[in-house]
Amino acid sequence: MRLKLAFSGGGDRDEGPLDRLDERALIAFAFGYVILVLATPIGAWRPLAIEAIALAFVAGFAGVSARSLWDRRSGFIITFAFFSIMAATAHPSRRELGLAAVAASLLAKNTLALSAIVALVEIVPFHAILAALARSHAPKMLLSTLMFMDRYIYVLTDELDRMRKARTARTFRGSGRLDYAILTSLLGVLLLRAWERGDRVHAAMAARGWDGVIRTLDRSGKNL
Amino acid sequence: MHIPHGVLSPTTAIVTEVLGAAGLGAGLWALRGKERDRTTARMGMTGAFLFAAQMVNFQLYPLPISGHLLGGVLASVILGPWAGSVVIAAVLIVQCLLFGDGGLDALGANFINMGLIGSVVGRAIYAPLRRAIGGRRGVLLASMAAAWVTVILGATAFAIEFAASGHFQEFVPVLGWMLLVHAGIGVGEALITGGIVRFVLLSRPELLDDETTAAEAAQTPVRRHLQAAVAGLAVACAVAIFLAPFASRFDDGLEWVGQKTGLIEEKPSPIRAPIPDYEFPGVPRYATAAAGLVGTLVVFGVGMALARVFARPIEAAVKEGTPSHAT
Repeated sequence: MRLKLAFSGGGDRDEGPLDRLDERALIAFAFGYVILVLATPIGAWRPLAIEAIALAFVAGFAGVSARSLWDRRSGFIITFAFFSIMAATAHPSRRELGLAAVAASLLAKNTLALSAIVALVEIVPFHAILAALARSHAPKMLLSTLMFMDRYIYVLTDELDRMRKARTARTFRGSGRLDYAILTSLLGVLLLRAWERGDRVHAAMAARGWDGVIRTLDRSGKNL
Repeated sequence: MHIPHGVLSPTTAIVTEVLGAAGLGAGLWALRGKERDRTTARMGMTGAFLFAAQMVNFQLYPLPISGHLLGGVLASVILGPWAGSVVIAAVLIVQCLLFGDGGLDALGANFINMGLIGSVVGRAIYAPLRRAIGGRRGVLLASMAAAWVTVILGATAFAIEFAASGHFQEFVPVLGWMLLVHAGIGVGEALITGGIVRFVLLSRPELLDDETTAAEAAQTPVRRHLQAAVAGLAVACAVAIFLAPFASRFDDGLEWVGQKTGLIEEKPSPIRAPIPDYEFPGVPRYATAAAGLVGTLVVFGVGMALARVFARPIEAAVKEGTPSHAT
């Protein structure tokens, strides 16, 4: 069993001029950019190049490092390259453009869209995205689920890692092939602990007058 | 199984986003008024748990694939169908934004394949089966069967979405490959779901007998029959999908439909590709059918073995079956 953990966002980044904009505008801008990139036809290299330069300019302007963009991209590039070649074999425009060009434009479009999302999360932290969604009257139930996840993903992944270390320290190591029984009971323990924690947190929140509405003392509106 | 950016055609993306949003809306509507309840905290915690659990890779020995928990059926069994689907939606949103996994344009399709099929259809398969078998054995076996069938249905849904994105002629080979791979992933999902459900049943069984189960017991007969009908349909679809490559006219039939509806513009030329090596390779029809059969047998056999613990008196079972807490 191995754990991989690489989150976007929250990196060390200098505040840029874009940080003064409303988050909702930034989110709309990023989503619009993704739609624009995905709507660009296959093999239209000039528009794709312009979109890439625009993204590079905005990301640089906001102080997002090229490295953070690449780190996220690199995790998926091999699988997606394989996938785009597969999809390109059957693509309608393959006959005019050739296999390589179709695969390359699929890969380029995917890279630009993904980089735009990564850049958005680098500029606007996830909790600020949630706050912006709350101001746009997104469904409360979904928002509070997302808010809990944003808070406890890190706690639970840490807990899982601690449990895994404890197990390897105290017991033997198997061949790693058929350790379903061990892994599923590890996850079972984690699930029960998560639920207990959830019930405790809910009791504490209810004691402080939780009524399903997320409130904040932060007047800037940037935090939940 | 997460569809990345730019794989679906714009039309497919828009249709699946609308369908996915409608499904999510239905789920949120079913949960209205529960914002203050413990459910909210539990949903968020289950979402965070699924996210953490998905980082654990399971080797599907002897196959060269490693898979991880998808969790649609698990969320549905512990939280109920609609809360489960909302949790999966939240997990997908977090993975798309924070993790770069799955495309923004494919959020709807991913939610249909894993959230709606996993949780809502999964619950429809789970509930009647559990009633039929009864007891804790019923909970365990029904959740494993639901996990196995929903992964197959999710893979089929992907093949349909991919075919609708301008790959009509590749539907049968893509479906064949997806089924072959997802037969393995489905068995893994069933085993992981079964293992976790068994653990919960052994240590905190009352968690699974919560409000959702009570609500189900109070269901009207009409709803029960409807649920059983959906379950039957889903299982029949899964069986039919594995047997589909045997229906020799199926391929042509789909093309005929495509031409009639104008989705395929011209008849494909007899020489289909200049370089035949680049053709999308098909799967031998016996392979998918065999994968389906072997998968069903493995899920059933392991399920029975795991459920043996519930056939004995509970004290003995707890002493023997509860693994030591790895803390």
